Amino acid sequence: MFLGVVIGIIYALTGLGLTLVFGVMRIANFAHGEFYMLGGYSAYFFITLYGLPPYVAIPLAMATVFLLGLIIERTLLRPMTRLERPAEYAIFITFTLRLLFVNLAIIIFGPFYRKPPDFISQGFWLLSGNEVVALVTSIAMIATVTLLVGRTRIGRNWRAMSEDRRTARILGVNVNKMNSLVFGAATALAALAGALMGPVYLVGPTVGTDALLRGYVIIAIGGMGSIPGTVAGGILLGIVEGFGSVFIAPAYKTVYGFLLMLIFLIVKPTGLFGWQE
Amino acid sequence: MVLLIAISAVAGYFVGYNFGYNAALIQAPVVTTAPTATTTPLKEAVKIGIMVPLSPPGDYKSGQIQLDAYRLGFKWVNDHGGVLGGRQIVMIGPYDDQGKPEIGVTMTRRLITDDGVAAIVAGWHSSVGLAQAKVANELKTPLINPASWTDEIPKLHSDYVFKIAVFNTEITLLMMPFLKQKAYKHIVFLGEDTDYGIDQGNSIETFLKSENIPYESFQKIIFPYDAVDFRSYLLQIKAMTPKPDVLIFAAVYQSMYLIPKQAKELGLYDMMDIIVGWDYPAWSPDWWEVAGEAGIGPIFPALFHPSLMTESGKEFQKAFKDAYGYDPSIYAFWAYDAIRVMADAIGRAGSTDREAITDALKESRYAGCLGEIFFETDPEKWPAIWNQWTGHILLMMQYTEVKQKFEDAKVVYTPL
Repeated sequence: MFLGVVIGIIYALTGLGLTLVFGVMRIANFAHGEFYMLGGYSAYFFITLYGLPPYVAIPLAMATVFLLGLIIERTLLRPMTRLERPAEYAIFITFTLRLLFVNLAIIIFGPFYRKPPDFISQGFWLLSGNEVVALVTSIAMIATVTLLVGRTRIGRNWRAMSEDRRTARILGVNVNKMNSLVFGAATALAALAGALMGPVYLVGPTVGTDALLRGYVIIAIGGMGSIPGTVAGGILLGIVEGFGSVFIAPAYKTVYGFLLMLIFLIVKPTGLFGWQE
Repeated sequence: MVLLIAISAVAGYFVGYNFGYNAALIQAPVVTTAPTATTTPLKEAVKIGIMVPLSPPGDYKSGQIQLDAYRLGFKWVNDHGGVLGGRQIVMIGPYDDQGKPEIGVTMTRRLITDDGVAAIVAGWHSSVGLAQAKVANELKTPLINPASWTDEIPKLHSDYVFKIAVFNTEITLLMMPFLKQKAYKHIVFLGEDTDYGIDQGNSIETFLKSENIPYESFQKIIFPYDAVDFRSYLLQIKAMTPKPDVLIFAAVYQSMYLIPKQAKELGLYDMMDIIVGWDYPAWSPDWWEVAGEAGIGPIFPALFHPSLMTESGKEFQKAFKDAYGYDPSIYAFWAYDAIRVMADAIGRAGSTDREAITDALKESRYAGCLGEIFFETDPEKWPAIWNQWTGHILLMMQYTEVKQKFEDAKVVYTPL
């Protein structure tokens, strides 16, 4: 149970970016896992090539991927808003980006796995030191994003856009600028998750796949566009996977998550904290 | 919109590349960098088809190592006069099988029917290797598989399919004397849900009984090959009663690093021996970076030792290290030798006729990097010995300090 909750909170960090993008921009980002992967690589190279300590390397990795997110939103996603079906086109674009990033990573970074140095080598009971750092950072970042969304002007604008984009625009919200910021923030959060989990699950071209799948399961359970839902969804997923692994079989760990998602989609499609429009 | 199309085109290139649509672009460098002064037109060259996993979900890391070795094999043959009176051998491909049997089938057919290759050298993933072997058998085209471990490939009893790599039963049999020597009583096997993992688990279970190893319990646990969190499995093993003496694990992807890492974090290293199911700690360039302290302790099989290399093996090792910056794995040696064995067979066949090459392969006696390569057929001895090289050895090694070189590792068991 304890492990499930801990892992769930770390999962929730991965889902947080997805839910922000979906809530504000109304698009599904299928390249989210690859920003997770790029965050892992960025932090790895900042630490090993430049000798930076993790508490500098990781924010730098976030900033790097944030900039990449801004560029992608501006050049690839914004033009889609002029089309009739922007959400569908965004799926195509982000899926294409996913293929591109994975294959570029194999060519540029090579096929071998990387592992950044441990943040803390001492473990704590069932958790490794790295997981403890990931847990604490995840909690802090979730709290920060919650405050950002709830107490700042940017957050207010995002909430307005998530409720009604047209009205938000009429009321003076710079929708394009807010889109860029939210997409950049989402990619930065994915990068953070990737950087934190690099010492735990390694860094490699395909590490983002698992992160993307879990992210979507979490937001489906918690409610798309809901931050509390993402956290609850992550914790619930972690607990269900943990219990399933112990009492049924660990071999079907991924299946438990998908079954849970399926149940929610049938019984409560809006998720735990989502809402019907 | 223009940028979108450009991105899509680039992404599509990678997908298309993986399907070999750019075969001409790939093979051109092999032809134009041939050692002869004049470039051999493609129609005069002898075409050998190559397939490797180069993208996920395939094991692209191992595929790249194989490809690197194949390239050196082609170069060696062409540097030494080519085949059939100076004709160069050219690589058609590499086609990326992505680790998927259905892609392996498609690409094998394409190599044979569309590209008209004389022969094929291919095989990493067991499931893909088996699919490729079936097509090669159906279309009567000689194929050497230098790496897949499944027994099912030689058990096809195909006249056209030849294997240089070990097979699971052979590895397990070679490992049995070590298990007997260690007198393990309670054995746990943790294997991935692939042909390799499942096969190895079944082989170990079979031979523990048939080789009269005096064990008391054997438990087999299978996990999804893409799993990254093994705590549930490892805690389950830790809680077993009676406590296991040894954990043998068979994994290829990320899991091959994560299992020892997480096992050490959970204290299993202090409780039982850890045996790695295959030899990647011996040669994987990322082993020490990823495993760290967890790299000390696990016992791993080694299918060669530097002291057993022939002169051509040493030459290849140097060439590989010079070209790519890291030592070749056993699979690289086998891949390199596979090209040379095929070229040798083509030479003795006297033509690019597939039947003639096949007959020549059966008579092969080639001085490879690690010994003489010949293909044995003896289904009475074991069903999987069919066009199979059985000249393998197995040592059990163990690292005793971080970043230790393979040749300095402790030899825990040797049959020599």
